Amino acid sequence: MTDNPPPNMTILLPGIGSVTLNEQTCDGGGAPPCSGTTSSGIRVRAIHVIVDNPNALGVPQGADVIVGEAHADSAHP
Amino acid sequence: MNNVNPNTTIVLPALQFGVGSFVKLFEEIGSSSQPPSGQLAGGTFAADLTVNMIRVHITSLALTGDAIDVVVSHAQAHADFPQPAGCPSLAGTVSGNATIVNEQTNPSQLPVVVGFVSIPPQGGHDHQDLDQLSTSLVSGGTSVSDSAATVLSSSSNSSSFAKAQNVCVLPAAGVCTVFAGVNQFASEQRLGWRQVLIRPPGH
Repeated sequence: MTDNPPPNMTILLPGIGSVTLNEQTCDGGGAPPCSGTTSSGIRVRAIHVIVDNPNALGVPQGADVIVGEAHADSAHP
Repeated sequence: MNNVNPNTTIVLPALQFGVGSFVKLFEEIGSSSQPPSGQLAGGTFAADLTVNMIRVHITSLALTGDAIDVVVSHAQAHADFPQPAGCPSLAGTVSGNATIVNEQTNPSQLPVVVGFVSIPPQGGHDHQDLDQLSTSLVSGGTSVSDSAATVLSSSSNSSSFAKAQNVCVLPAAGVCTVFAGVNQFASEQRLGWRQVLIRPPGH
């Protein structure tokens, strides 16, 4: 897989759930580029695993695992 | 565990303790205030911070239905300062944070948050280096989390990043369900008068 996956690239993990790579969301909803006249913010997650199936790994169903998360926002009225 | 990140929260089972029950470690509750924008005198700059080492919050204990809130080791601080004449309040605010690992499971398994850094609304810098990662679901090598921001009279900017090497997520029989060699995902934002520039990673 490429070193730089495209934003919000989701891959199914059979028997486990899914993983989203380079997950990007704007504060208040919407997709990047996050823009606003007086305030805006963005959150980026490198790896986001959601376990929504009973699995053989022993990981509780419903587990939410995030690796590498960064958030920034500013407001300037 | 010797050190925990601020506001580490372990959710308690709803069946025994009621919905919304939790144990919180190193709870930090802070606030700050300043004169309204444009005011040049007569106001007050103030800041408050409350820290609870351990807080047990139970909404409805099984059998009795009691609601309980227990705090072990509590500290509180307040500071305020009158606004000097001609000293304007900050025109803008910022926020930023970064985390290396955040695990949410039910029941909770510690540690749930690793490498958390954050900055206050007035700006600043927070940084953390870790030699290795080791949680119940994630392992990895060195990692860095960083958040920095400034507020100026006509603009403000905020940037954060989290970086980790050789990350293994959900290991099973020596095989990683998800593996990443090097990750660096920055989140940067600059805001000025009538202008916004967002630069997602890779752009």
